[in-house]
Amino acid sequence: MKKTLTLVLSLVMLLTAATAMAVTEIDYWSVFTGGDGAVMQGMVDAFNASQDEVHVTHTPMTADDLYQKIPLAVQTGTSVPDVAIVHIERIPNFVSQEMLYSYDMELIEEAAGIKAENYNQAAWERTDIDGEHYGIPLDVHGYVTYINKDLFDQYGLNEILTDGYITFDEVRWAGDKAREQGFTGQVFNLGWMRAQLLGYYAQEGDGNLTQDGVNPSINNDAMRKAMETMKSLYEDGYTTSKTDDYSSMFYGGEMLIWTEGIWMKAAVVDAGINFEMYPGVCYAPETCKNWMSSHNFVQFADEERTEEEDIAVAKFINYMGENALVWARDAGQVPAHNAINDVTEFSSMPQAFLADPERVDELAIYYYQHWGLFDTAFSRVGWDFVDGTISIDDALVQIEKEIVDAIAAQ
Amino acid sequence: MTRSRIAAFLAIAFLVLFCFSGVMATTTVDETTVSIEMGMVKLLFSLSSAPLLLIPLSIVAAVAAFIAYSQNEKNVGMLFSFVAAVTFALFMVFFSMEEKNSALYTPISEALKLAGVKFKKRDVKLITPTFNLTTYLALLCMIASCVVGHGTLGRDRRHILKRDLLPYAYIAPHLFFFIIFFLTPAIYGVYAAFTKWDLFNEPVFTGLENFKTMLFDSSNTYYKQLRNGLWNTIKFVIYSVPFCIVVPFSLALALNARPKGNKIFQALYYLPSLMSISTVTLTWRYVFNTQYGIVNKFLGIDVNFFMPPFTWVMLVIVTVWWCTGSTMVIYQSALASVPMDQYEAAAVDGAGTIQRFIHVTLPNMTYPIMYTLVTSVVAQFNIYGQPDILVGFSNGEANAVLLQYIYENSVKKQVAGMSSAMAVILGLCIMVVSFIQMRMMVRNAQE
Repeated sequence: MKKTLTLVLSLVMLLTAATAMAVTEIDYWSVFTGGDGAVMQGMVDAFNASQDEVHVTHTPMTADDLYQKIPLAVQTGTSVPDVAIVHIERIPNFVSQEMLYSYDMELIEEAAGIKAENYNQAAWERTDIDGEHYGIPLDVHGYVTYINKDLFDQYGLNEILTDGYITFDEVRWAGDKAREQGFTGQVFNLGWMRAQLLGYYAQEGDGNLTQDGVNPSINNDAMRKAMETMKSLYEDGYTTSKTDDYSSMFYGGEMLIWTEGIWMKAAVVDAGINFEMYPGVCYAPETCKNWMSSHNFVQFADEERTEEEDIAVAKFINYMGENALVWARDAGQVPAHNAINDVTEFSSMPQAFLADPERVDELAIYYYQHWGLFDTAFSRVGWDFVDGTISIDDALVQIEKEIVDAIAAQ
Repeated sequence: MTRSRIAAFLAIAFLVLFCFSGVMATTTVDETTVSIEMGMVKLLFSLSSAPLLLIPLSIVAAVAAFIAYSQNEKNVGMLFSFVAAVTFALFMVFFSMEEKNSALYTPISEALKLAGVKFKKRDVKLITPTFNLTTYLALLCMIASCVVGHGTLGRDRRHILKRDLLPYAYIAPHLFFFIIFFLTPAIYGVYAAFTKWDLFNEPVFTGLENFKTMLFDSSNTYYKQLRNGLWNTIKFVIYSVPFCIVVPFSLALALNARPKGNKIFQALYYLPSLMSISTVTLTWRYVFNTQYGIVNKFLGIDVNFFMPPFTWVMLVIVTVWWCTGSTMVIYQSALASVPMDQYEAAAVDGAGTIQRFIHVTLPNMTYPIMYTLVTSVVAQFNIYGQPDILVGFSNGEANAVLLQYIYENSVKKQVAGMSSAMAVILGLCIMVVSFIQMRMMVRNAQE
């Protein structure tokens, strides 16, 4: 009798333990590869180790791959991730195609404490659509300016840095002054053309790519001025050419000012460059804007996902937000969760100025339903308008026409 | 009426009934119940749901059964009837069992919206399709065709079956994959060319609209893309094909002379053919790099190969380097089979090396040269990787070929209907050129 009782009790305990240890499995897709991918994997591993209720499997891939695979996954209902990272500018199109679920705000606040006031408002508000909320930002990231401090010291160029902004006139001045003293390298670079152009475009006018929300409206004076600015810098010899390896030039001390993404900070540190980071080059300090984007956690439509999985996803997202200091330190990004803003270590990082609530107006986050079409159409003429293969007016007409024709043919 | 004719009639009845068969589905959201009915043909062209791939197999088998019965080949007809019935039955089973039936979501969501219910996939409970009576009748016809067509085989039953069916058993695996992975996508692709389709929602049939836009609307983006892409593709074919013939032929001739170390050289020349196009082009991108590339460095020149007019030179060099090996082995094999007595006779008649090449080697190489010419032209018409990785759409799209536009429009811009129409035009061009070349080849062979 005693033996039987012991056996029954053991079985009950075993079953209870097994129930208690039931783990919710979450599939997570991200656009982080290379160095960023390794940092993200580390964060996911840390989350998995921090508790035993949820296990997240991270599948990193390039952004192009993710944006090609997701429509097929959602359409067929096969292998839809429980949560994924997408760029904020892609969200309106996903919503219009009914590919995304909106967040149940009551559920995720109750389950994980996720609420609007915890996050960078510039990023959060962009994903409020028709009374529903679709994205929870992990970070904001953008195009900034790195300067080679040793070269600036050597050629006496530091006076342009005193106000914390670098203007196009100052780029020319610095280049002229350095070259007068024998500097044979390059002054500035034209890199990721779209990011640079949109940073300059946002400094004049309203910075919108569309007026009616559907059709493009980029053939305007602000865009023309931004393109002419880039073209004249190139023609006057202040920038790299199309095939120049500008990152190697900066790492090798052959370039004074490098415009690049904040995500390259770790690489610059590894290269051993004595650098400082500033906002993107602008027309004037008072109009300065930085092209920005934001990685957002979204949930793609999957009729099989349960509430239990939604809660597990919310816990994961909140953990990633609250523990994003490593994302700032090792991946160079600006975490969107406000909890990180108050951390001293983050405040001392060079990219921290992008999280300053008083400078939120300097963040130019684009938000256009047909962003993908704009991106593709612009990439065709990205360098051609600079080197004169196509005139700026023709380029603007071509971009608009290509987007309009694609919308009509979809 | 003979049994063959009855069986043939039943096979045709299957095809006719298939056109009128359909699926019904019902679902409930927020106490609102909606039902939809979808014809099988429309379902087939909804381009979703994996079990639908079994239908083309079934149709092809039914047509083959009909042809076989018409020729009084009862055993063969029975085999194809059996395949058609089994594949169609499997389709019905798998389609009913599919838990996430995306083929039915679009009409269901539209019906829900019409009923004033906000549609969310997660709110829709399991959609279980039910087939209408015509579908079951179609299946019954195919089974009946199989049973009626069953021939009287007598004592030599096994021998006759083996004689009649074994050839089909040999080609069955290839035929299966050919229908599923080539024929079916090709038919879907042609159908998509007549639709407006964003890859996500159901294609909308628009007739010849895409072709009209591309061929006649000169202000349209796709009109310009088609012309530019097709012209650049043709230019590339003209530039590259002669080198894709001459270079491997020269190397094959050199190796055929059995110089010292010819096996090593043969392996080296063949090696690039084994590499993927991504590997090849990325390697050459470094080789041609303007600042650090070894071409500029060793030749002591300062040429930007990524700008016209040098881009075509670069693309041809990369392509020839990549395709030389596979063409070369064909020529080597053909050269080895040229009868030595012809060379000996020519030598006795006092022919020199050049004369022997012109009067003995070349006539014996006509067929392999024509064959490689056809395959090279087709291959170069399908150029994509080299220009896409090396130059993209830069330089005013000076090197953008049609397949680049096709890929970008369908996958990146989700303009799949227009993109499919471009692909159909490219396919037609290749077919016309190949047809002319094949005619020339046949004429040469007859001479």
